[in-house]
Amino acid sequence: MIEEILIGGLILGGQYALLALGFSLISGVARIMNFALGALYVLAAYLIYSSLPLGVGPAITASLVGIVLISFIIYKVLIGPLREKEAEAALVTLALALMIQELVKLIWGPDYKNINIGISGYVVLLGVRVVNQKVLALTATLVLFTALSLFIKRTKTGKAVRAVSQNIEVARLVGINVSRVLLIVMGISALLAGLTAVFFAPIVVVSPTDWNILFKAFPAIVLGGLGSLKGSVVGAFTIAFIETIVAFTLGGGYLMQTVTFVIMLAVLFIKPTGLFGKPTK
Amino acid sequence: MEAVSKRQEEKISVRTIILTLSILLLLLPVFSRDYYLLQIFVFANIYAIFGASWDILAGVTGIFSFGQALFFGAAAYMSAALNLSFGIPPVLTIPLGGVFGVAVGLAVAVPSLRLKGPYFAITSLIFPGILAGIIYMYPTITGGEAGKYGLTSISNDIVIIYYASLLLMLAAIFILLRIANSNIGLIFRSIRDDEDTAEATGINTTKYKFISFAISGFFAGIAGGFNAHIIKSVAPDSFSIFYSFNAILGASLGGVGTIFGSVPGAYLLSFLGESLRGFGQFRVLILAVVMILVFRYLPEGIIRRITRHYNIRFGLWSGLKRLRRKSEHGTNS
Repeated sequence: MIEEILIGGLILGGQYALLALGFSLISGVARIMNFALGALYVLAAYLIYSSLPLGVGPAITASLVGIVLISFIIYKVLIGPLREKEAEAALVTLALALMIQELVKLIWGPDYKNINIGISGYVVLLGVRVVNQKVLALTATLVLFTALSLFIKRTKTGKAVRAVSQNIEVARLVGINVSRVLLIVMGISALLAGLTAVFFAPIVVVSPTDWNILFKAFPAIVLGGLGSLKGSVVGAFTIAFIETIVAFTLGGGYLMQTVTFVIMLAVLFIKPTGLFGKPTK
Repeated sequence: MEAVSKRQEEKISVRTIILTLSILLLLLPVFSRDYYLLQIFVFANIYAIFGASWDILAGVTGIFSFGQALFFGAAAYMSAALNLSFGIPPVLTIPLGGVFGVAVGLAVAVPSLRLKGPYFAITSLIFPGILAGIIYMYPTITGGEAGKYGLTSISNDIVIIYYASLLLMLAAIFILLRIANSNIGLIFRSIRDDEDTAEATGINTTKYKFISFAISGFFAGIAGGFNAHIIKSVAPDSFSIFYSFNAILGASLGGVGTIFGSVPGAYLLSFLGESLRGFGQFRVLILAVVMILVFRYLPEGIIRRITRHYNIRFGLWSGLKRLRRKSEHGTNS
């Protein structure tokens, strides 16, 4: 059973981690809560589903490019102008998530869809059969996390991103093109949502209301602290393991959800900015 | 001088409009006793209370909650439990629902008060889900996903229900406006505008935030309990984000921070919702688009935009006070 918990927790943690990284990045750098990210995940999965006749490679590329372009439009038209107004921006992205959900329902119907781009076969790890797609998804999560960390730490653009996240006004004063940086961050977070669809949608099925997966990832996001990449990953795997342990010992479903919410509240009560979050003003 | 007197005229006309509309609402059943029409007004009144309850917390005190449905749903379940299990009549269960709303408000205030910005936003979004989860977990007690049915109706006559909802709404708005324009309201606004400065002037901001949560919980609870007795059932979806949106969108259409704005906001929303009923599958989509347009292009709300356009001051009592002051000033000069 311990092996099953370990494997199950790792896979779930990977899925949470990718979404948490995107959400945490945009809210830490741009101070925007982009609730539409969950909907972009769903949209990406459906775009792959529809463009699958083109072949797996082109379908994934088309979907990812589409999602990033859509996120640019969302930023330029809706979120960018509202950047100073946190609450309004958050409400717009929530409404946007609902709008995308309804559009997906109208275009593809309310039923769930299988995204058949997964690789087949399985490996035996610690005596547990794990399908290859899950191994791939987990590996991809770790690679993406490392790549993102390196990008933020080592590149010039990454340095600009860090500067903007520390102080937008000062970043602007030293000549950083803030709106370009925010657009890049928006694109990266959308790309991460799209990649979550690429790697994890074949494991689960996707339905129009699945954007609320973001709600399930919230305890992970908040636990780790907004704006901290390391925190997102630590939070994601912590919450995933707690959920898996609860599911195996006490039973899944709503109990699992309630337990993680309570743990999240307890952590916030002790440390209001999560484990690795920077203090908010 | 001419400009001042013109503005006075406009202010008087606003007051006249508000009074006329209130009288028209009171007289509505004289003109029509159509069940369907009155029902829409009843729901509009409930949502006006609900929106105003959110407004005192978010718009006036600056605690921008995304989970107002928590109080609404919790009170609905409490009213239902009191009514179904103990046979307590609606006239008591609805205020008791409000009292339960206060308890829930104070309970969530404890972990919420230290949280800032996005941390509070996310937590407030999640709270209703926690309660819904607990309800799903004990289906034998709570009715689970199907909810509970068979609550006592407030009255068999829709006209009586209509008057009950209207008087409740007018009373709630009146009380909330009095609070918002009192010293407590001033402290609420000082917390909203600059919490550190408020704290520095010796205000116990924590205490007043608790008070704001309690007031908000009470009126949202009243709305939730009343709603449960109208639809004669409760279900876990009263915790859904749609109900929270309803409060936020209603208050925002009218103008955040005005309290009174929730009334036209809720009426607009109710009639928009009804007129979209024929569109079935497009309903949520259209509401989402309306929401995006309102928050993107009209963050100050329709009513504020109109009143500002015509240079009309808002707020019944503050407007009256200002009017009196202006006229005194006018006679002196």
